Amino acid sequence: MVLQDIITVFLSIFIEALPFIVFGVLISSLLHIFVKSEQILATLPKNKFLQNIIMSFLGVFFPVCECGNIPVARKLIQKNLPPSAAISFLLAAPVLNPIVIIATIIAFPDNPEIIWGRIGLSFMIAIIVGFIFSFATKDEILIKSIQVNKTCDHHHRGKKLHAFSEHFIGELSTMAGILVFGAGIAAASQNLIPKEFMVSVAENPFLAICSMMLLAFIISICSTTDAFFALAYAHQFTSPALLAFLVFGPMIDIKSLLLMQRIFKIKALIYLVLLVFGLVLFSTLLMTHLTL
Amino acid sequence: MKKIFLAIIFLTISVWLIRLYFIGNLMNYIVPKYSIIVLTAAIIIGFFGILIMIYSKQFKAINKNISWGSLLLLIVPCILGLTVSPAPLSSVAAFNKGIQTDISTVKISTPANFSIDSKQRSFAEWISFLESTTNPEDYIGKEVKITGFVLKNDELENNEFYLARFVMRCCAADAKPVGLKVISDKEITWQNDDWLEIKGVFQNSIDDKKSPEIKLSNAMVVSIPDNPYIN
Repeated sequence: MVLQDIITVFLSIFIEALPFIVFGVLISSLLHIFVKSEQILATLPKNKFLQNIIMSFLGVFFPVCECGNIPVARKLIQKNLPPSAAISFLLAAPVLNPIVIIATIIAFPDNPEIIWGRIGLSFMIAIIVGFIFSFATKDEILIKSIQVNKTCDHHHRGKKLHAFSEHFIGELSTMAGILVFGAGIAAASQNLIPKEFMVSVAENPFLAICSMMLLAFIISICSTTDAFFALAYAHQFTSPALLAFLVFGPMIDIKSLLLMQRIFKIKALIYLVLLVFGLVLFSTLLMTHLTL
Repeated sequence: MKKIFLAIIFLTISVWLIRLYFIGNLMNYIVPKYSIIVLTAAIIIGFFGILIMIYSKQFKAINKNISWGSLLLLIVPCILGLTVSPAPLSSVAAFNKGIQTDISTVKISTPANFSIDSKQRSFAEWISFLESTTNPEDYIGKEVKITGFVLKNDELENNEFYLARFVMRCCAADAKPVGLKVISDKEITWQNDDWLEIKGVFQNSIDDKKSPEIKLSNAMVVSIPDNPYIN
């Protein structure tokens, strides 16, 4: 019976989340092929703080999760986007985009504090961290190879459809694979971990928030689908703890760190992780105290 | 090699989901109103599965871009989809999540219908009605005919059980069980997870929580409804 319940929850998360990956990858593949990144850079203002804000909203045009955004950021940096603006983009874009917001609304129709909290906190943290990084030099942040390499993203006429399909198939398989992994962990933990243990963790705000961030870090699930995953814990955990999961996960997890180390130096990544961790912990703890 | 695997995986997932949609079993996993987006996604995945089959030679980057790891992971839902017959959550999950007996905390999205005859009300409509009414006279002494599954534990007398349904907002991950206590004259022989259609009358058991009990008059075993959850 337990096994059957695990399978039901697993398939249920997989089925509910899969369409959001399909639609997200569909749009990102279209943009990947048909939108030139030079066009974005040309419209950017000179002021660094404004750059951070504008880059945070770029997710509206690149509605994919972390894994799709990192190659975009890499390409933009090679075309001379300041790394601090790229960081704002990387932190905000996985949440500030239509597909992720719709998925969050579908998963939490009765929790406006989770929907707005997720949008607001992601935006604020992305700008603050980007602003802090704007005081560092390029050499301090970026690895050497990315500063010299110039890639060719020129697509030849007539091959666009082919490139689109190839991009779509590749991204879909990778992200759906991660979804299987994440849904498996969610289903198993929901049905196997004793309720008493979950409740005792959930009752301590600090412990609850930290363990939700750790969970997000390990499972590395895509932001388009993590709201459905968080639902599995919504019985026991409070909104601030769920928010910590939903804000921290899209910014930092194992999968995105692996991809980001192809852009950023290890030292810069450590600062990034600590800054985001600290800010999410602070803001969600603050929320806990305000709502009590 | 990878390409053929991937094409088979895409087509399997697509056919599995489309089939679930048309035989109605998708409701074991997700809320009915979202089934159409699952169908759309399934058709898109199937289309790309066929595309890989036909243009296999042209898709050179697939071998490079896709890891065996993702393929192995994707085989899991394919195998489960093909071999496991769809089933709703069971009593084990219900006990692990904790049965809600206080109706005022359930928060169901089915609208409360005050004008309908009490015997015609479904389980979901009763819950929604009990949630919104403030007057016990609206339900005490009223006849009920509802379908749910049996939940029994040690805290109950041997002539009592809960008739339960899972309330689902989105998918089975968020489903929470809600139960109405049913009291019979005789000892209960039904087991956990038996689906019953019961007839009875509401009687008062109100402490300060809203948890009316049903005095059982008649019950029969039924098959699992198309939508085992209430929304």
